[in-house]
Amino acid sequence: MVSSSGAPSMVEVITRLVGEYTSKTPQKLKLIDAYLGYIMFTGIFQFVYCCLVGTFPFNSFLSGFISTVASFILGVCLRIQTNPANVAVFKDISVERAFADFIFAHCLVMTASVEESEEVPRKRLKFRCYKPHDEHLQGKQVPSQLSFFFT
Amino acid sequence: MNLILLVTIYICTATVFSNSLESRVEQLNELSYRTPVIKLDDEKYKSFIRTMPRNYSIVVMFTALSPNRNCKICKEVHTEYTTLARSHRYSRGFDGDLFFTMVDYDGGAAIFQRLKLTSAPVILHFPASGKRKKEDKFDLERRGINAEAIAKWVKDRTDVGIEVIRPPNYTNAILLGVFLFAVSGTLLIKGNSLDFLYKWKYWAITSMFIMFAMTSGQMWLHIRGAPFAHVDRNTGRTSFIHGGSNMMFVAESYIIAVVNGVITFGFILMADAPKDPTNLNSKYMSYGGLALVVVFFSILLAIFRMKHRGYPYSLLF
Amino acid sequence: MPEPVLTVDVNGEMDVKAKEVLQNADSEEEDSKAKERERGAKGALSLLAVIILGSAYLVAFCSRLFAVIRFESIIHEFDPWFNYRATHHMVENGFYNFLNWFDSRAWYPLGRIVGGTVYPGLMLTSGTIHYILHSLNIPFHIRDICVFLAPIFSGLTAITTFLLTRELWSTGAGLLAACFIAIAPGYISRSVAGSYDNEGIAIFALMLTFFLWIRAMKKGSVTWAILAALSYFYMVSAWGGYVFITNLVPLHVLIVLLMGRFSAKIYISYSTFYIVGLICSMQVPFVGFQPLRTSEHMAALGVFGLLQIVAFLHYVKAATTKKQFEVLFKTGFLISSVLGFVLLTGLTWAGYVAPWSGRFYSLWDTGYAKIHIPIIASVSEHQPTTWVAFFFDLHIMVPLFPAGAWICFKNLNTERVFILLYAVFASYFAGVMVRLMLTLTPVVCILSAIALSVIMEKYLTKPPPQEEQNDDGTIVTKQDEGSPSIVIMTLLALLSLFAFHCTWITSSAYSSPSIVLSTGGGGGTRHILDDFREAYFWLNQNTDDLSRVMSWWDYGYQIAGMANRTTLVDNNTWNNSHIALVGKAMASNEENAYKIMQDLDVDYILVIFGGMIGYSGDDINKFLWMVRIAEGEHPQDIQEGRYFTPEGEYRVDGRASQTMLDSMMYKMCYYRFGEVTVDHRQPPGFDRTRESVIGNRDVKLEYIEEAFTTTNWLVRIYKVKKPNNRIEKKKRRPLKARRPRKTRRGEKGTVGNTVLVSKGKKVSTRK
Repeated sequence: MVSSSGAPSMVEVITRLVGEYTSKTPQKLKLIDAYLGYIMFTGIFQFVYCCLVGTFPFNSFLSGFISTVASFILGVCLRIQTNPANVAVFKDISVERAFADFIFAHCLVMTASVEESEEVPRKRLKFRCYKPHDEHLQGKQVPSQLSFFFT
Repeated sequence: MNLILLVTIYICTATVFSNSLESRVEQLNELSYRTPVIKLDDEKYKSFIRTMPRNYSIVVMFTALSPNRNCKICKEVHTEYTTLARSHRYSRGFDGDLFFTMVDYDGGAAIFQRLKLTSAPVILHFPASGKRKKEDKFDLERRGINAEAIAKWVKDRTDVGIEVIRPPNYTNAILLGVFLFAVSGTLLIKGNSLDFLYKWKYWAITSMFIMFAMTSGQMWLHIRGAPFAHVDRNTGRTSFIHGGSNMMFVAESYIIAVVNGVITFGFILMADAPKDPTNLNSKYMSYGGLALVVVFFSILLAIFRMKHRGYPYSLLF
Repeated sequence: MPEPVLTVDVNGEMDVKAKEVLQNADSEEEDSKAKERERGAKGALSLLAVIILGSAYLVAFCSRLFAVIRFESIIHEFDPWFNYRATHHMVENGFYNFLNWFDSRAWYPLGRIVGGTVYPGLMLTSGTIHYILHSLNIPFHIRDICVFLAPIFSGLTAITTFLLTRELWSTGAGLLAACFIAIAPGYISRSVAGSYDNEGIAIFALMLTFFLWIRAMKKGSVTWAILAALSYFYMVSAWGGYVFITNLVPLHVLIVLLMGRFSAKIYISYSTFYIVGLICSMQVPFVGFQPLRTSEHMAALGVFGLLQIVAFLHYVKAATTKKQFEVLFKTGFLISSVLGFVLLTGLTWAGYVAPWSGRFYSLWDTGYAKIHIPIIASVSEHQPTTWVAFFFDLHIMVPLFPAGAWICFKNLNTERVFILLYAVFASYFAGVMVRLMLTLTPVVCILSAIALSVIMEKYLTKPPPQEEQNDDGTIVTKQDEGSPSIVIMTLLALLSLFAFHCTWITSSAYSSPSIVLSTGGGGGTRHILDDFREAYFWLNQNTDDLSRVMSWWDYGYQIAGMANRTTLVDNNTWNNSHIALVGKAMASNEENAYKIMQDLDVDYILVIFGGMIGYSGDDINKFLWMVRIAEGEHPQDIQEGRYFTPEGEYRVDGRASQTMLDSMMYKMCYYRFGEVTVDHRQPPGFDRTRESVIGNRDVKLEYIEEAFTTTNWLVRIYKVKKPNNRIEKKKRRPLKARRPRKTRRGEKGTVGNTVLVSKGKKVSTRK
């Protein structure tokens, strides 16, 4: 994609980027990047699977997908905080502190994901109730999953 | 021979009569093609409404639209009525069993007199058969003048459901278009330097304007609507401030916004006064600001006491 | 540094080096003394801060206790009674039974799924406090905890507001903000002792989340962002207004990005906050999948995506030249924004993403609720705000907070952008709905505190001494006393006026438990009207446990909470048709109403009647709303016009329409009222509230009978009679073979079979 003479094309930009990356980034960061790549692959895989097979049960898909996204984000945060180029910005956060934060956050995210994926049984109950005549009131008080109930 | 004559006469009268009904329906259809709301004069009124039999029902709006009658609500009802009639005319369910018409006082005073109507606007429904009941008069005060309300009443009386389709409101789209055009225009012209966006004073003044507008009750006025001020007919005095605490006038909201603005200005003067005490400006600004704050806050308290009887605190007056 | 050698020469005078060393040592000593003085000052300051914060907490707690001191420790209003009942249920039956609770004693015969339609944060908080206290063997009853929860948390709100303002400006401003919010009437109105409602803890959670968010943004650390997300989770479980945070924080990030202040800290804090907050907020059953399905949460998702892209571009920018970066940036930005917009619109149009729910949409399109959702429009808290309400709740802070906004604009940085956005949007929402004045109050307190702190600092500190050249060439240092203390004195006077105002407002306007009425007799005596509790207690003691009580929806929660009986409709108002059915029963004549009541299995009916004492919030005044709601569902049977006089007036006296006089509500309210003389100057049957003599003084009831009327006729309870015994048709006896009767026509028969036979006399067959 050449916009005007002198401006580089996309291919050039990308080759330059890749070159810079392989040469300038330290080993630790490359390790984190590999981990991030793996997480991203897991997330994409889950999403594609969900698109193919269907969204039921929705909350288990959500818990899995969101835990991959959260792990990815936390990995990126760790990378930013441990990047030697960013030391000036993160004066009072040492590498060890960043890693400790990473672990703590992961514990929390995993607990939440497990909770989310276990919420199935209650929602499957079917009650025979009157259908509320006012759909616009449903937005007010009746949450979306209760629309399963009013059949 | 007699039989044939009788039969012919019968057929003729039948066709005449049915032609009369058919021709009327045809006329009505044709008129409603021209305008959705058919204007009636004496003759048309007699022909379409008073001659029986009818297999259609008619809704008539009796109004007084000429400017010297000075009937503001007639105009509003007329707009809503026309919207309704247009929605009905162009809907798929239009098959000649309901027509919307109107009678203006200037052309049909006799009709007004015959029906003993003394006020306008009035919307009446003449059913296809049977007498007119009390419910065939549309109750404007209770139901409002919305086209949807009239449609609901029409459905109650005639079982014809009309979906009110208002012409799309293009003002929003136009405004959005103008705004986007202005933004892209300024971006193109200014190019790299968007310095004016970085001047905090513009942003500050805009935000403070919003805050003053909200705290002086502009949203209440926008939602509820209120008169500008109240002129007392007996004494001729204009009161800009309503005496009760759950109502307010437009003038009142402006007064309050100005008073708040002055008090805020006083505080800003006090805060921005240069620290150097030998600078004479500093003394003016600080004392001036203080004076503004005290005086105008007392005014605010006085106005509040006027509205909220029983409030015990006051500052200067 | 080598050890200095002090050399003293022959004359005993020290040489220059030694002097230097001594001077250094002196200055070092001075330095350390200065440091110690500084430390002492800091210590004194922090002690002062702690004392002031403690007193702010105390003042916040005590100023909300008016109702408890004047009346008693009781839950107020209507909604808190349901919260109390739910908390009670949780304490008795455990947390998981509460989450799975299906309440069959409300909305009979439909029932209500409580676990999934309620925000459990409030109940959880009280339950936790109850549990902790009981495990320490301090036996507080759950009712006392519920009554005093709001004042406790308001003190905590003062502390978190201090923390937030300290992040934004300085400690002095923080202390002022804490004091302001401790007594601001806008916050007190929803957090008096006894008002056991979500807002009491929601504002605390709001301030805590904002403080943690600002802290996370300043530090750029993952821990603070996680804490902010957890506090957000608490807020989501506590109040439906969490949507405000969900939209304000992304808006802040967006504005910061547009201002070009992107930094790695913002990326870390927002991404972590969003994703952890998302998964935590979906744990609350009521919220469920809404954060991914409704338009109100889409802004957060959009900004999250945008932030990822911006971060990536930022990373790439460091590795490429400017021109290359521009190429990449333009294509990337274009593609991503178009894609994002198309995706979002497509999902909304296809129905996967629900549009804005009516409750929040009506904040933007203010005419929406009146037309489409009249129940929302009829609630008095949802009305727009007049300036009087602003002044009432905020007093001097109304003109002071724009000054604070000006000062923040002048010294803009990333955090102050947040507080300014909060101020502008909160003032808009407060203008649209009175109830949202609550969200405006904290930001007004913060900005006013900033303005006042700047002004006071200016006039309380002495300016630095000026060095001036005098006429004769000598340099004189002038120490001006600064502007005299007039400014400070006046400001203190204004602040004390503010304190008086707040206390007066709290005492007179916001401290009435609406369950107990009090009127002032002559000479300052107070007459307490405890009719509501009398009636509910009667219901509790004299009716069967399973009996069902029909009343208008206002009183449903109170009946369920205090009388512990099954109700038909209550304040949740989630089913409009059911409410319309009750309204139809109240508005029809006795026969039709009886049919409806049979269908609904009603045993008792409860109405509020204020005609004896002049109470204007009774059911006859609300009757038109009942008729309107009933007409909405049953337009064939109920027409509003029939309840008015021919002239169009709503009357209860002799000129009332016949439908009105026949309606159940009229009959129930005025049964036997025609014999009562309320005022010796008026004839019997004079209704004090409507100020007219009632139309039908001799009301006869056929299908219901009076069960109980309270002392001041405020609450009247009627019992629905069981249907009459059915008159059975005579049963046909089964056919038996009959003995043929041997009688001739016209012959008289004999009674019994006795025939007197005397000897010799012939028995005649004719008698």
